[in-house]
Amino acid sequence: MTVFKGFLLITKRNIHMMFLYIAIFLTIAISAQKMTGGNQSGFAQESLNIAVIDRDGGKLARGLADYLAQYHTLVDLPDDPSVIQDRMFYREVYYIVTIPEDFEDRCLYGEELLPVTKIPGSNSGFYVDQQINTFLNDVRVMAASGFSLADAVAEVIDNSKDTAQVTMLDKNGFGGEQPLHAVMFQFIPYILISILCYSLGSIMIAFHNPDVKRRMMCSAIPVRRQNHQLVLGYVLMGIIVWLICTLMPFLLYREDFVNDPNMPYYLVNSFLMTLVALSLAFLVSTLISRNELISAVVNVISLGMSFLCGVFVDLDILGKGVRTFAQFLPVYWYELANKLLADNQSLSLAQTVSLLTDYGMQLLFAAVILGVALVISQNRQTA
Amino acid sequence: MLHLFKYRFLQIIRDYSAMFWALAFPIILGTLFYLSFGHVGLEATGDSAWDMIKVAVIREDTSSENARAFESYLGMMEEEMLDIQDISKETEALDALNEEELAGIYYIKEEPSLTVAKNGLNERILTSLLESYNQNAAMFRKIAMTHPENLPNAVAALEDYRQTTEAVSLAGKDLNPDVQYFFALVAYACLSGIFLGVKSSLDGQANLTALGARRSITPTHKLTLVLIDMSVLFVIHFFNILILCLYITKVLGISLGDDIGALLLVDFMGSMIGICMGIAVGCLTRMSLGMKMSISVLFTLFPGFLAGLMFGNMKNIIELRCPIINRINPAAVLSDAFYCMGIYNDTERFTRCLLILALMCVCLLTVAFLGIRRERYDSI
Repeated sequence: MTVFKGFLLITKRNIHMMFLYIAIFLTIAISAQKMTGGNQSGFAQESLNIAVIDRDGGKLARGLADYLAQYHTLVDLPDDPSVIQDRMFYREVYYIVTIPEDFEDRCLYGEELLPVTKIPGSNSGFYVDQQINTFLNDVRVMAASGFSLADAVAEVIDNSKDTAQVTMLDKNGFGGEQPLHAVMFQFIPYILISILCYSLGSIMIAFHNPDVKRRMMCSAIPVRRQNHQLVLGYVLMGIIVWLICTLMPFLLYREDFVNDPNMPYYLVNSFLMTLVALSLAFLVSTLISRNELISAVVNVISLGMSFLCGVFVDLDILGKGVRTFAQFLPVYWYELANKLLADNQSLSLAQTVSLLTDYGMQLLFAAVILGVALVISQNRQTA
Repeated sequence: MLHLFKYRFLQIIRDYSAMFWALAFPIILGTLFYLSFGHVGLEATGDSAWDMIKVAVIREDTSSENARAFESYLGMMEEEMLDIQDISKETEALDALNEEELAGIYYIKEEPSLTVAKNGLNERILTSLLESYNQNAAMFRKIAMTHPENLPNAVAALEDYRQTTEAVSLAGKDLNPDVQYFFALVAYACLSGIFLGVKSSLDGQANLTALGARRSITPTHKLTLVLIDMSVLFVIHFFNILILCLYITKVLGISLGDDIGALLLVDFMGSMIGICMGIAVGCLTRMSLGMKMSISVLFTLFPGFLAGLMFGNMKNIIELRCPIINRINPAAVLSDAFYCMGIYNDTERFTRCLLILALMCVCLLTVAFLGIRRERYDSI
């Protein structure tokens, strides 16, 4: 087990570096969780600070402001571009409707569109668009059927107070919302892949030193056994990192997570992801022999895969084309399983089968990536 | 002077794999961002980018007029966004909902209702369909009561449902909602100059590399060496960033603002800050290369994260809770500079962003110079 011991020795010498990586990525995970309140999905309809700049002052304009005030907080803003810029820059206001003069003629009877300004990236702005659409279209219908403008506006505002009858089956025990630990598990793949690829990648640099390589090649241990010992070392590191990462949900959401009947399934899922991350790390380290290249390559793999597979944005939001493509990546299957666990407290037979499929796919990916890496490394050594 | 510059330049760009990755990785990431935000949908194949939402419809009581109207409304929606499954028994439907084969169940009765099993995007859409039906139904009841003769007009007006808003930036331009990811990406790519900087600073330290030893015995002033290193790296990095911006605007078609001069200026300062950070990290401490690289990861990824590289909304949240971070985080300052230039047309704040960056560069360079000056090596 000389190679294994050597691996551990080098790891010990680089332990500061490894802890730094763990610290960086755990901080990212925890602050993302804390700052966004776990709501990554971005389709929750929320109350925003919005401003209505009324250059018209008519009934319709006031009606629109009243209508929007039902859902949002209206902020008073002078009609001065520099002040508006200032408030938007500091995110004191998210959405601004500028009602032009002759609003009725131009936008209600005419075809002109109402100019709105949003802070880019707030999906919630989309809901305000929809609310304005509903209001203006409804008022137009009422006006077309003979109501006076004032009556039409009053009716539409009155109607909007009715709520639809929607029943929520509490299937996951968290009122249909994603439990916070599930959100945390949603971005664990990024953390695992980053930590393992960065730290194992840099540890393996030592083994790429030509002198070390030659010394290892002229030893009595065949390349295959050397690789097996390295893999063993990897698995040990992987288990340590996995334990540290899975401590997070336990520490942050103890009650909810421990009481969730799906807890063991989450743990199995993240462990399989660890195996995938390890095989990726092995592949990266066989391909890269220089420290300064690690960051670029690991970034492309971890960030790229995370974006395509729904780690940062919900799988639902990704388009069909992306989802089809993502099936060829292991993290997609992890996220599918995670979603299944987040949405259901008890799994039916069919759901258990699909959970096992997701598990199996990850295992398969891990095996394939590891196989490719082993072949490459053997070819390189004999060449 | 010039020959120092020339040979340093040649030496650095002949490290092809490092050069390739420094240029390629932000471009690859940008492409993946572009793909995952669905800019390349399946429009070309005539298929929609999203699947139809699967629902079941249970007819509880179809005697009332409202129930019949709701049924025909659902029929209309079937063509647009609903995929109504052939399930008529409630128990079957509930089973299917449990199995996640359905997103929701609509009940047709006097007062239509909806049952869903979670709070997701599809469920939101189903709810808003029901809400808008209810509102329209109430409206039409009112019209039928007071102005029954005008019902055809009302129907005609309803069928003419219009988009009524248009997003404009304060400067009057359209804006792409995903643009902040690309701002953060360019900012991150700028900061990644740190890796080039760290690598090259090793070449000046006699205890670390043979080249460093050779360069340390020259009578050339240390400051000159640092400045030469810096300008060579800067030129290379600046070109990489320019290629990235060109790729984002021309190939991916995402506008980073129309003012070429201002864009060049931001890229200039961005490349500068990245290189300066790298030289500072490289010169500062006696750490292994691996440790320096992990510190570089810390100083690039973490600011990138705070500026919205992973979660686009991050910078907004920080601005509300702890704005000082956005003033001192170089990635956020760069991304703000892009905002001021492309979206707000705000020269005052734009200048401030650039000044902050310039100040940071000067501080970093001072630190780097202090770190390596008067460094002497014993002859052994």
